[in-house]
Amino acid sequence: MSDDATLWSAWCAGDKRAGEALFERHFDTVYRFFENKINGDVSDLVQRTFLGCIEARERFRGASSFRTFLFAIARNELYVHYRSKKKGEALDFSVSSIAELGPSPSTLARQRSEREILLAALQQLPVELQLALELHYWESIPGSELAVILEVPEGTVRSRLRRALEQLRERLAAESGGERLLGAGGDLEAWAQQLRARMS
Amino acid sequence: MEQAPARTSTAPPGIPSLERRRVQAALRARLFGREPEPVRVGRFLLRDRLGAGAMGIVYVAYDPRLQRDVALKMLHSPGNQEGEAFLHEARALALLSHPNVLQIHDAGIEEGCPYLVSELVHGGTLRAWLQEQPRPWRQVLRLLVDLGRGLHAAHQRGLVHRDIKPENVLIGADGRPRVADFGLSLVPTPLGLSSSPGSIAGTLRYMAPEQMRGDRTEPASDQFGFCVMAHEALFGSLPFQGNSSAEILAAVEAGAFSQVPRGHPAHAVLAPLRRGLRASPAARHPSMAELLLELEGVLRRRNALWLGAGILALLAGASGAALVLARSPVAFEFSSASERDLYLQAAELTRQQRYLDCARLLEKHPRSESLSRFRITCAATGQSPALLEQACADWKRHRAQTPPAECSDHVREARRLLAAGHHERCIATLERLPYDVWSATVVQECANKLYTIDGFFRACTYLRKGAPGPPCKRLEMLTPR
Repeated sequence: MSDDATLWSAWCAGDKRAGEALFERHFDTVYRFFENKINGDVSDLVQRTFLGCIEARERFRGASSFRTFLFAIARNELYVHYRSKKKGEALDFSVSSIAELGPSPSTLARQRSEREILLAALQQLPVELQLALELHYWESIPGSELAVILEVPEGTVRSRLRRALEQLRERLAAESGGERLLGAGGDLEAWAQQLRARMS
Repeated sequence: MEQAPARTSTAPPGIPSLERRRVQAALRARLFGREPEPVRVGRFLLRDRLGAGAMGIVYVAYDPRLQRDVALKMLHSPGNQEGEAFLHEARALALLSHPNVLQIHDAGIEEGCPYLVSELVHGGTLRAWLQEQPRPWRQVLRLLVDLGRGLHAAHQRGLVHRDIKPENVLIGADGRPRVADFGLSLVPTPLGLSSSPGSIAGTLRYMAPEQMRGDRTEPASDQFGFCVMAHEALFGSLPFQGNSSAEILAAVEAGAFSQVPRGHPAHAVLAPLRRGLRASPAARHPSMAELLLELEGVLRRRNALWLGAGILALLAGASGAALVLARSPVAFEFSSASERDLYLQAAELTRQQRYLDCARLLEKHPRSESLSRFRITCAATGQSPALLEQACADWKRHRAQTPPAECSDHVREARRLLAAGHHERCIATLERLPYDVWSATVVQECANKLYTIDGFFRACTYLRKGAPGPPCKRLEMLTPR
């Protein structure tokens, strides 16, 4: 099986089958990215993300992997989507949370599983913090690549991750049933890894 | 190989997984021009997503066996026992066929999630209908009575809705209201769990006290919900005020009704509604039938110039169609004296059964809604496709709202065939379509003119879809068992 970079250059050269292979390989990741951030049909956003890759191919050189590049475009599409929904209002993604921007059905979950409680808490974080957390701890994107995706210096990424974890703990403490997920506290990094293990 | 969901995926099975596969299949087709391979649920193929809520996701799906589009509602997975209860209730629902109940075609369980397949209604909810524009109270009451009939039919089969509210009523483009989401409250929802003050889930506002307390629900609980909904639709306010479920419950038990403006034209409805809103189920109307009788009485009593009864009595002798028409009577309201005079002239013409003359007379007054509607009815009753066509066209020109069902293409085409004497073809046009009362009128007229056993049989089969009662009797005697 060819690697992403090979498939990517073949797709850019017009090989549709290479594009399809990339699509099949990364669909789940992109879908998951939008799934808990949008209330409604995510197909248009996923589609725009894949098409956006082709449109923005010059920018690919800045990213070290195709996946990082894909996330950068997905994040951009997400912001465009929120802005179009709230026309006329200036949106500050360091303040607005996804819960304010329109809840996804998962916030309405019935007997809530740990996963759902966590999602609900995540959705109350400012979008920037939620993105940083999910991409880093769920999708295992290293800090250096996160800087490319979020378009901020690497130092900012680290402080953002720390703030995100702290706020997540606060939100979980406030969610009913969330205490179960708090664990012993202490080392935030280790706690985040535990969460990840419990979620998958 | 690439079909299988990635092993790393954290999405639980059930709705999230189905939805992900649907999007993936749709995008594969859209982006790479592949043959669409829609995700299957039972024998149904998922197409577009219509909407989502606390209950689950609703899709437009395709039924390859009957080659038609349907609505497919996937529900969040319940426990196993609830799944069984759901299927049991769905089977009973599928047996119920009534013009004012959303027709259930099928049900099943896929990946642990129950799903319901129903007719696809192009239209909106009662809530949206009420918000769209101010509606004359008579129109609202007629609609409520129709809904009540659907509910009553369900009760007669031992089915209880348990979640009557404006969001669970669908109004099609044909203007016909249907009660939807029967018995879905068997599946647990988060709505009952909200406890923070000031954020009472909408549903609680329509819930009977016995249901709030978690006691057994019965048809009388639906009657309560129906009356809350009717109160809100007619008067614009809920019958009981309160900021928490406890406050509302207290108001219900004390019979502390909210105020309705004195002299509201629909005031006469208040007494029967309030009886249906009693705290004790035994103190309410014995069944929906008694409540409906009183509501219909208000419609009739308060309108001396109510045309429907007169016309229908006249028609009764002439055509069996009246029986069907009587099921959705037409009432009239007048904005001026000249309009009323025109109406009286028209009434005289219909008394002489000069329907076409009447339709021509009313051409002069196309801007009044009630008379425009009447004109369409006259043209249809007089069986003149040309006049009907014209009346429908005028309706479209003057009004943006949905035209009466007689203006729909299939009914017009059937009327044309009927007028031309092509009775067999007329029935053939309609029998493939879902039942509606206006088509039924045509089928009935047609049946009266048919002299073949096969024709009778087909007409009767069609009519039985909607009204398993008197209208079929005469036909049944003539059809082979």
